[in-house]
Amino acid sequence: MLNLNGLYEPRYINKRLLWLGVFGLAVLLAPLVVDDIYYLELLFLCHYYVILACSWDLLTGFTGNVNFGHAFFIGGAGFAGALLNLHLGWGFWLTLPIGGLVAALCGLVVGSFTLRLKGPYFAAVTFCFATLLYKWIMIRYEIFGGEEGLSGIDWLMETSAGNYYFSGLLMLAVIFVLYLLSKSSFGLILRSIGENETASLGSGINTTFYKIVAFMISAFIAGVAGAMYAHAQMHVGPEMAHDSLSSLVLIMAVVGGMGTIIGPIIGAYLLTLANESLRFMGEFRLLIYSSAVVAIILFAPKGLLDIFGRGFRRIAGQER
Amino acid sequence: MSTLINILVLGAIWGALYSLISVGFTLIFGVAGIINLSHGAFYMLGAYLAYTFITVLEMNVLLAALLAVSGTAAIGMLIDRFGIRPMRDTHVYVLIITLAFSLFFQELMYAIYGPHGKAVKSFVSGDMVLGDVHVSYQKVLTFFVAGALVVLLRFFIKKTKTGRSIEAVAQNRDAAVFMGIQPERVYLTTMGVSAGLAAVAGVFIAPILEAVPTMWVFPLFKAFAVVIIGGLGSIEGAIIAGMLLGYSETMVSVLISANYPDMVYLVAIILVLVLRPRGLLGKRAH
Repeated sequence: MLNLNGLYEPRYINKRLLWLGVFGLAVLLAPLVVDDIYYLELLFLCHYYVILACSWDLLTGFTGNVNFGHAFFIGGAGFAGALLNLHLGWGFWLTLPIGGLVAALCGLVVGSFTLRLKGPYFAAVTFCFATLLYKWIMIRYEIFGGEEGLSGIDWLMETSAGNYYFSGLLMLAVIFVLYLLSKSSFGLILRSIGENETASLGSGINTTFYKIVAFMISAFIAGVAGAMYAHAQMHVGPEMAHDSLSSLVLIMAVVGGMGTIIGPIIGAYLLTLANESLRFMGEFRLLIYSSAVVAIILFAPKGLLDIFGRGFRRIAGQER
Repeated sequence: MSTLINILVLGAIWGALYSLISVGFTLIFGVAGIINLSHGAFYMLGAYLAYTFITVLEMNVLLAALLAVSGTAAIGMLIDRFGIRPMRDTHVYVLIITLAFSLFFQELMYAIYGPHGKAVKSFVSGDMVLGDVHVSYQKVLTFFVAGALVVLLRFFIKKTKTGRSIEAVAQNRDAAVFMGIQPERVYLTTMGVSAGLAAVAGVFIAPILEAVPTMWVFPLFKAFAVVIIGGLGSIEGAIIAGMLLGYSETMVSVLISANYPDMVYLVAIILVLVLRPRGLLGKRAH
């Protein structure tokens, strides 16, 4: 059951906000400690995945509708931004918001057709849209560049440190907005849909409307991130619309803990860094990585945040 | 004329194969109410185990096929017992854990056999000639095995005691419990049967296509499409929709372009879910 008292207890809000503040400060100050380009690029990747995992979490973690096609928005906006930049010469300050709007529009179309469907059906349709986009990119190679994608997009910032700060600030802004949303009555309604959709309907809430809005916000954020990634890499490829990206984002959010905002942040950082630091294992890297994911989901179905939280409370003596 | 024969023959073969993959998927949904995203991985395991036993260990084909199918069925039952049972009623969890297992098996096969396709030599050699169309006997054999198994499955469900207990749980779980049936045991059996059927498809596809680590994705979602079109939980629906998908893909591929057949099932899922969510033969969709 949803505990309403806990949600509005001021101390609880401040504690979580405090943690996010510490995290934000760490993100902003990190380049003072690490100035190696390799680490800055790696952390840029972390920021990118945090944005994706958190945006995915807004719909799926809160309302329980599994989105299997987040790559539809990421790749769609990435290619939209790239084409606008290559053919019309628009800068990133235009292509990022337009990429987001394109994704949100796609979210509106897909969502209004499919969000009245439940769980697995919705998952199937989102997968189909993403795969259709992927196939379309491969077939119309004269527009999208096929397997090789499109290169020669303008850079985001001139240096890695610039990319780091841009993505970091964007990530903090996204997290802050999602935090505010989750504390608002909008977030409360989304959670109530996740707990019991029939009861929410019975309370006079137009659940489909709220799900579509959540889906659009989720798509918008993913689209902005996709366009940002395209500019930072100066390249877009079909892998940005591939189903493996969708499942990667999903796994990150689940490993951290769905529906918690902080969980997907932990999951995205952890899996991005783990993926990179296991590189010395060579071809067994992905095997170890995926076994760890299976183990975490099996033994901590609510995610690592749940485990950390319980351990923390146990040390503090609040729970036995 | 040869175009027509091509469409008729190839459509029937692919249709039978899709039906075979999809009946297991629809069975486990109808009985246990779960969407099993490991289903494609069972198909992939069937193909890789066939490669291991036939090409690497050079076993007798029949023995190898039996080992591959029963091995996959055992893996399916292990996943059901230790992965799915603890959280069976949570839809989101089941989707995610079965997806995680698929990714795990993909990486396992990648680590063992690498990214390149592994071919198995045909079980039977030679081509059947119809007019001026050549069809390998391997494909003909696949058609008959798939057809026979689908018919056998229906017989198994309707006539044997185990099959009827499966149907009883699918119809009404609580009533089945009162009749002395243990649902968890039925779920386990169903998962074994379902995984075994997917593995048979994998074993027979290994000589036709190659075994590659990512081969689980498209059959999984084609099975999803077939089952959505036929109605979730309906075996007859899955057979009809499987044949429909086989024929329409072949027609698109022969008449329009080899680029587009993969679009058919994606568009089909979207259209059916938007226009008629309960599928062709399904009961009311939730």
